[in-house]
Amino acid sequence: MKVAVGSGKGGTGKTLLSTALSFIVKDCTFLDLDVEEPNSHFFIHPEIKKEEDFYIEVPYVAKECSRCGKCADVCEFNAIWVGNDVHVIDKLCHGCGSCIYFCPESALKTKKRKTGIVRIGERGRIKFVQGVLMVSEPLSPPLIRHIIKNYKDDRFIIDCPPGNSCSFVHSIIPADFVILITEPTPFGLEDLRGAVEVVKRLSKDFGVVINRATIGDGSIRERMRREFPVILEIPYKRSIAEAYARGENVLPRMMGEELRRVLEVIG
Amino acid sequence: MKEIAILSGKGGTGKSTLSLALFGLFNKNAVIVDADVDAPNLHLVLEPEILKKEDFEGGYIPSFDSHNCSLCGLCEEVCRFDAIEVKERIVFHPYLCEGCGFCWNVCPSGAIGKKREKAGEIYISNTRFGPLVHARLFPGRENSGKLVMKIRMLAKLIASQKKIDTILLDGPPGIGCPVISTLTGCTYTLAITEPSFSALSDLDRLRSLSYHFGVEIGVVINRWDLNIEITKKIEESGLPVIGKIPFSYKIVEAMVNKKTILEWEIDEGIKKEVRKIWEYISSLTG
Repeated sequence: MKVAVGSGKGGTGKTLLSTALSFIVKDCTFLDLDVEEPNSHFFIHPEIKKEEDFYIEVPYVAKECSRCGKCADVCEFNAIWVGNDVHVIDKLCHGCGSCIYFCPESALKTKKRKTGIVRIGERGRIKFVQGVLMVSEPLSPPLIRHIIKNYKDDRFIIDCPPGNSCSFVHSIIPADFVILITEPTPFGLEDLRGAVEVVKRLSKDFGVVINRATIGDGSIRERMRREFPVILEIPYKRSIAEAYARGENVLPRMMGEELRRVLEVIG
Repeated sequence: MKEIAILSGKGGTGKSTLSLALFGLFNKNAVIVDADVDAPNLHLVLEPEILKKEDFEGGYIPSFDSHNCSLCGLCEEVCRFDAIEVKERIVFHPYLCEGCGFCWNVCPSGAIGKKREKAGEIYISNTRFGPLVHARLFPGRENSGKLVMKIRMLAKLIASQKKIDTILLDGPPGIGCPVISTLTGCTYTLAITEPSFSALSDLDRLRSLSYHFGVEIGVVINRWDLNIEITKKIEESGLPVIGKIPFSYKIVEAMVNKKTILEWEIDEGIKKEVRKIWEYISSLTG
């Protein structure tokens, strides 16, 4: 079981659903890849066993050089600037290694720069892994990729970040099945279409969950049912929202059977 | 000129809903930017009349010439993003490519060129409340931060041409590069939050980010009646609370009907609260 829960639009219930599924499955690895704003720990309440620092490698000038400017030439991110000195703008560096390779004088070396942490823990038989990007760091994909590379296994549930761009893409790459959770509003529908496009381009099997399915006049819900493979609908209940606010996930209790059926669909 | 970033940290707290209502109150005296380029939504309610469309090109990506390629595999070796696989032919994964150029610089056969692809579209429009600048980043792409900077710059040009002194930026969730691009150089961050532990945690990180970039921040608590204790926590946290809006079913109705909440039959208390928020941001000086 290798499933990722994404959405397109923020706030539609990714964390609510992904943590609920982990409680039903009981025995799996939960990967919180919403590294900019991780929240799953509020629902899983893991016992954290370890916190690891995450580093990316950035270049620095290790010795006097002729300032030929080759490093700046090859850098596509404007992270190196050559004037009277060679300046590296750490936060723009993507860690590709190009500058180091092409320096004709081997004047550049790498140093580690901490950009986030990985929290590892457990709750019952759920193995919990959560990425936390440091505030003011712009890039989440390196941390997302690191967690996937080092912590994924054969049975995992991924809590994806919102949006349809590179962070979301990286978070669904290891998945066999992507659940896209949405809400029946014009904003929800629009963003869902974007997410579906990404998922299809990555050739992933997917299913749609309509959360707060009973809000609005039903017209968008109908459209969603026609346009997408809807595998579950969760009604709007103020009690779900109130419990969520308190860090309580009532879905396993309220919709245990339906969630089990979703897991069967996923395989 | 003042630029107000409407952000949240947590997704789904009501940024766009409130941005639209505030824009309406400026009544042609503000430019609005939909800075959530991954997932833009404002146009769904504003029904813009598009005046100008511009292509957005992201960074370069490699283009592979199979004739000159010897399948030596060096490009695969140097790529740190696993975007190239060399089998009986080159398999390129554009979604993993970060456009670093290592491959096209290293290829010993000169078989890899570079090209810019269209990565999105920018729209400059008129709406019933004034100018809108929005963009769509094609799904799965990078460079969202670069696109946000571009549309901000366009908004500034329009604002100065029309002698408008307020720019509203409806931002994305999170605290990563598109949020940073939305936030830097702004006069104020209006953080829209809700009373949940998740939102509180996310708000705290957004607060740190805003301070890091030297931008003052205040909070609007949306759906405040969902949890009174947490609302109180936010009120006692030291962040100025600019307004508090209770939950209302009518908010979705307004959206479905392509109206801002102030154009809809909504509780007078909510309208008053939104006007109060508007008065506050109007009074800010750039």
